[in-house]
Amino acid sequence: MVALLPLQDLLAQAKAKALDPARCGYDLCHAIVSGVREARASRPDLVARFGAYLLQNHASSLSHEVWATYEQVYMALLQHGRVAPGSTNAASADSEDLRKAQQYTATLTKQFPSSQRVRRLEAMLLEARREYGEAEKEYKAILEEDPHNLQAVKRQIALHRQKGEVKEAVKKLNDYLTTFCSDMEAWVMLHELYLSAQKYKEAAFCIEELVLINPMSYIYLVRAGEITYTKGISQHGGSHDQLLTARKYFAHALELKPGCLRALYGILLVCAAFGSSTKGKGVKVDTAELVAFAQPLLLKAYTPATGPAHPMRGLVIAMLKKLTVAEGTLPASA
Amino acid sequence: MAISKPAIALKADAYTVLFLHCCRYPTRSLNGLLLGSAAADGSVSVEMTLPLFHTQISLAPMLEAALLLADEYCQQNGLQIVGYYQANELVDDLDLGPFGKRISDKIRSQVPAAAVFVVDGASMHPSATDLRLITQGADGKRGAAPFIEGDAEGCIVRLERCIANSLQHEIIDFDAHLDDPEKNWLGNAALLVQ
Repeated sequence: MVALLPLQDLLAQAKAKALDPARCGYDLCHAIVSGVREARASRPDLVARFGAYLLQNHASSLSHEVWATYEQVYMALLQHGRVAPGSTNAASADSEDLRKAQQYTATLTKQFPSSQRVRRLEAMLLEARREYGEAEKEYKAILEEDPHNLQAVKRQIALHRQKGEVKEAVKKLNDYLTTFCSDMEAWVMLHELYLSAQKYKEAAFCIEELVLINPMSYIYLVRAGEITYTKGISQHGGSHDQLLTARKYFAHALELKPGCLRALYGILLVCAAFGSSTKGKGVKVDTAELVAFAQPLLLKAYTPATGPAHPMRGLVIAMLKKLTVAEGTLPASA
Repeated sequence: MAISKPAIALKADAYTVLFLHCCRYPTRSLNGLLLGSAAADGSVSVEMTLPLFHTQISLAPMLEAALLLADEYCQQNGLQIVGYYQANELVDDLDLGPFGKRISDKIRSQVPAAAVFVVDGASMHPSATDLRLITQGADGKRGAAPFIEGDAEGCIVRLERCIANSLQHEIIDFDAHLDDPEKNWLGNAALLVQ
């Protein structure tokens, strides 16, 4: 069964056939397109290449999957938007991919004449062509018919982001989140927008919400640690307490995901920062035990059980030595 | 009196890795370090690219970890951190932003003539004379465009061959390394097709 193999193996098979969909045949193409979907991989290039071939030559074999595949390939085409080499102005003429996407909307509209979902997809083609005004009009029209069309609201937010209107995007997202406060995707986007504007306090709030919604996910704890650490070492208002909080976040993340590199580097950096911190108000934080605990774990990640040594191992050992020395050279009375 | 501007030269491998990193994450803000040497006259030669992040470029801790490792690598290999590049989420945004400025200032405190680039993503079809890199001077003004050392045409042809082979998906930045320690952050140049 090809379909059960991981995406990487499927790609190796496809590479042996020069990534030519016709030579790969239905089974492999289909496995790749669904593999990308299931792995939630961001590979519009693969979906555009293999999916378009499937729809062109094997639409009937896809049976009940055919319309979902149309949607998936359509979105991939919008994202990929390949411009043929040699064409100098990408904006003036549609790329090959966008032309194909245009054909798909015709097929989809014919199949689902009054669908709001298809109308949203059409508006996304306008976005891909940078016709933002037209796209916005379309989303407004959808929302007038159905104020609860959340996908259309999200597209409006994405439109602001594409146009670089961070303030408007933040406002709209906040409005949206007062009603739909358990939408993780929306919190993630809001935290990214705040970070891009260096608003660490607000970004930390979003991440705390995500930790509350999903307390077992190490990924949000790591991010919470990273943000708190960034605040903690800041020249303006950084504090010892923030570093301690960051250490807790990293430690909790490590507990949920043993061997997590981000958490281990985070812990070691907090310890080093304690060593050099002048903001301690006389508080001496003993880091030796934690360093002695975290260092071997970090090295373990760079020591494969079998096979050749990790190419970065020597580098990490040398780096750790310096990090510990830097900390140790500080006078004990400081 | 005309003063000739100090030149920035990129080794073909360094440029190719930088560009493939941008192609790998076209929708993200990303950044990376440039390693090489700086001459007394202010000219800079970039030998190697260490791609850093694509998930989030304005956080301190993993950047510090990467800089410590990069410093160590430089000491072991007789190199210096001589530059920084950043590609923003929006193609028409050519500003380093406060965090990018801080990173480049930090590098400039060691190497005053450091090469700082913003990738101009309006078109991702570089040519030997237009590498799609905008040099940011210390004063915030645009500096002289960098050039590729040796066979520039050949470098672009090879870059296109790399992209045709989807090699950009094999580029390992520090983010990718942190997610999977088995992925080697230092081995990007070895992936390139010849």
